[in-house]
Amino acid sequence: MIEIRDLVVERGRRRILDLPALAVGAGDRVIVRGHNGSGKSTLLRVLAGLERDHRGRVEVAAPLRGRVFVHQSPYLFRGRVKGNLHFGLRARGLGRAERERRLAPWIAAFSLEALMGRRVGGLSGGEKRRVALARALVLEPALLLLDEPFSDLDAGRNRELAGVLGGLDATILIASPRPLELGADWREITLDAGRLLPDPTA
Amino acid sequence: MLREGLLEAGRLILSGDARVFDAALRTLWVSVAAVAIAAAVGIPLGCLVARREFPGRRALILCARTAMAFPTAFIGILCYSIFARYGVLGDLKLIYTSWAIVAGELLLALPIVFSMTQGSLSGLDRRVAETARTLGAGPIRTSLAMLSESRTGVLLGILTALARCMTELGIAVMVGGNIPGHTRTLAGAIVLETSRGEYERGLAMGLILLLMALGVTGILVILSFERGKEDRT
Repeated sequence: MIEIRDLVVERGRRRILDLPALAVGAGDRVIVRGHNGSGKSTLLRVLAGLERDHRGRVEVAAPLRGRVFVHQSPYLFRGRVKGNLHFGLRARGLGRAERERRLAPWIAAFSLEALMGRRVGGLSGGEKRRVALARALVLEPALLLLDEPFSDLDAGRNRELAGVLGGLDATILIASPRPLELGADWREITLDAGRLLPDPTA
Repeated sequence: MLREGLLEAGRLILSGDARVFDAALRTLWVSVAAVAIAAAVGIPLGCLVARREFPGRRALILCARTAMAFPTAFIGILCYSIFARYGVLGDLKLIYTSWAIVAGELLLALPIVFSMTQGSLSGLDRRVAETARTLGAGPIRTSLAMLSESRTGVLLGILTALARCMTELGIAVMVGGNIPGHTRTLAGAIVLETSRGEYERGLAMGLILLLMALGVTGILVILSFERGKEDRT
């Protein structure tokens, strides 16, 4: 799914990311560990196509529309929760009935029924997170890129999200500063100052 | 005098004075037409300049911001030299018509609408464009999402442009000619009444102009604000 060769991202003189090689297979689940500023968000952003200023080769076997990135602190558009959930489906030109049909399972999965008519300004951090995740997942991306998705959810919601992610077919990369207990089919890579640390289990 | 002005304003409005009504209506349609064209051109242009890097971008922004301070008399002379019978566009026979005023006010409004759009979009959280794009929005839908998120600033640009166009005098007098029943606007009428010593009438027309500004502002605010309150995350 992902082939990276000699990827370098620089901001001014600072080298944020320096990856000689990284490969992720289709359907793989990867946790990108690392401290703040280690380059994990940048890696996800490059893969999402949001960071165009880079050198090296990045091949992703999914079109841009098949990759969805969710920010560490997700942005919800002005208006109501419902409008946000419909945004990506509308961009794909789907009619109202089809949009509602595709959204229904995700509204249930993230318990958003009661929030649908609410304005986004009044939502809590965790509620915004759930809306943003549903808004992304309903698009059924082939490559899902989540930047610290567990940071503002409580333990119950974390289990809920872990369960949802476990049931997806997508290739998933999650950036996280903390270790995550997501199961045996998740592998972990660690970034430090933009470089990949050697895998201790290899 | 202020009291007499207020009374006169009330009397003029209630009696439906034909000349005042004519000038008020012209003021309104001329400035609305100018700002509508300015918005149709300036908002997409503002989006483009806010989102793309190209050579001369900074110079363009600087020029537009400087142009916001154009004295209307200067635009008036400029338009006069263009539309006058022997001017570059003299053949259009626009001089001393309301459409010449529209053209001049367009020059007044465009830098304002453009600069305010470009400025508010440039100051927008970068996650807005990124979220729209990663959710599959194309360039146009992404721009629309950005405009919607910064609608307060864009609307303020439109209102500022309308306010300047409705109250400006230099353009209306120079390319319009301040001809009663033909090209006279309220601002032109105020000057004329005052120069004739009819201070109360001048004051009254000023108050009518203010009332119109209040009405237009109110309509725009209701149209675009009401659903946006406190929604920013």
